[in-house]
Amino acid sequence: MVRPYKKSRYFLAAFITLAIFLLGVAIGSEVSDVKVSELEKSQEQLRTDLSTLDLQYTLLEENICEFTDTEDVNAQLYTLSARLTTMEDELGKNDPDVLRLVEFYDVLQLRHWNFLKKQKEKCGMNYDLVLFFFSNEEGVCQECEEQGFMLTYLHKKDPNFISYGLNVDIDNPVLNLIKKKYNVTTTPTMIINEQKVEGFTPVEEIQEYINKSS
Amino acid sequence: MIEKIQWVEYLINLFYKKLMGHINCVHVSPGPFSAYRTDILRKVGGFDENNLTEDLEITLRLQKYDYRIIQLLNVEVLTKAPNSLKAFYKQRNRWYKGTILNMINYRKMIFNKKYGDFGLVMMPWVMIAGFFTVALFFVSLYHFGYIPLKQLISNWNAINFDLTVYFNTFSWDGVKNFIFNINYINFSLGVLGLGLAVTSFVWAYHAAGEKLRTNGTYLLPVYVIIYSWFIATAWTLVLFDLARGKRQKW
Repeated sequence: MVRPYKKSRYFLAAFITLAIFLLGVAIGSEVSDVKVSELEKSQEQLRTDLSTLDLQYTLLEENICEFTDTEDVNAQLYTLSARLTTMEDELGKNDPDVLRLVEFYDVLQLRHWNFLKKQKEKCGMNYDLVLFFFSNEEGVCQECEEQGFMLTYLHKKDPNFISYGLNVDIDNPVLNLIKKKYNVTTTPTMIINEQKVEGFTPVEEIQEYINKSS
Repeated sequence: MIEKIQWVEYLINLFYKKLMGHINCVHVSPGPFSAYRTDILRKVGGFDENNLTEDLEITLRLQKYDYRIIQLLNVEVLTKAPNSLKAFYKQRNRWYKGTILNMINYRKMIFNKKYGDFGLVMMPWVMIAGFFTVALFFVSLYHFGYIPLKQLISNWNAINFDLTVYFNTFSWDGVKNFIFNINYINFSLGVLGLGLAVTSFVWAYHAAGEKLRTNGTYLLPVYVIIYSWFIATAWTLVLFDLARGKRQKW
């Protein structure tokens, strides 16, 4: 006696399973898309805010120091950064949508950095500004994650300590210009108040560089 | 608690067997819940008294001779489940070891067309289920446990474990960011999976005429989320024992 074996039954089961799985992925990526456009909106807003600050600065050069309330913009920058990291985890660091957002974000960061630098020089604000060059390429920069985490921690401790994480793998004219200006050849590299520091740097050393420059 | 959770497990397993009975694929008729026709038992040679899991062995033998086994849900039985972690592990060790050893003895039925669904699908599945459980256990432990934990500790190490700045920072923006930061692809897959699990639970309870409330609804999440780790640990230790060639008595 040969007992029955119905192939169609297993195909049906596999099909139902796959359908449920795909449904899950589809719902999830739908939400991810909403998140991408949400991020784009926040970035647009940040761009407007930065342009406003910039223009205020240009128009009222002698009164520039009246516009020192940049806390909101700084906070926005950090929120965006955290959200971008999430999108990188979710969609992958090399997803075209993510790369586009990161490039835009890096340019915004440099603009913000430039503005605070000017304010620092003209108005004697005691900002500590750090450019942080990192790489996401597999195996290139093992300690970038820790270094970045540490810089965010230092900002939480002292809101006047502001760091800008710049991805060296992004090919953008402004980013390339900055990399060339500071001759960035390795990751992690930090520019702490105009002093260049290469390699992973512990908290105490960063503090030393800051004390030295102020 | 450990006894109650096994009550849930039995309900689910019996429901599963009921479904398997429809395609003649019951691979074990559990000792406490089984009734056989004596003449057939005699014909196939009776129970193997030296077997670790004689109930599984007799089932495989009955399947081998093409007898039909079905699961009924409209009867009541009482059984004694292990009530300590140690007794539980001892029982599972015997069950899982017995399953693998018997599967090896009946390997001729695996992928055997003569046995239809049972030979082509059920037997191979029972054979690999344990290995599959252990593999999944270690992959998830590595991926969702070891890697994030290692990164977290390494991050905290970079700031000399000064975590004070992360306290007292509650804000609505923080909540909004948290909601934004959920990985929704994993999240929706998780919700769907959980939905399927709950559906089969409700179905199983309904089929057995039991009430979720009887032993506490909280058992459901405990079963789904925590109990599976116990099973996976038991399987891991069993495979380890087998690899070392350790023998076991009832």
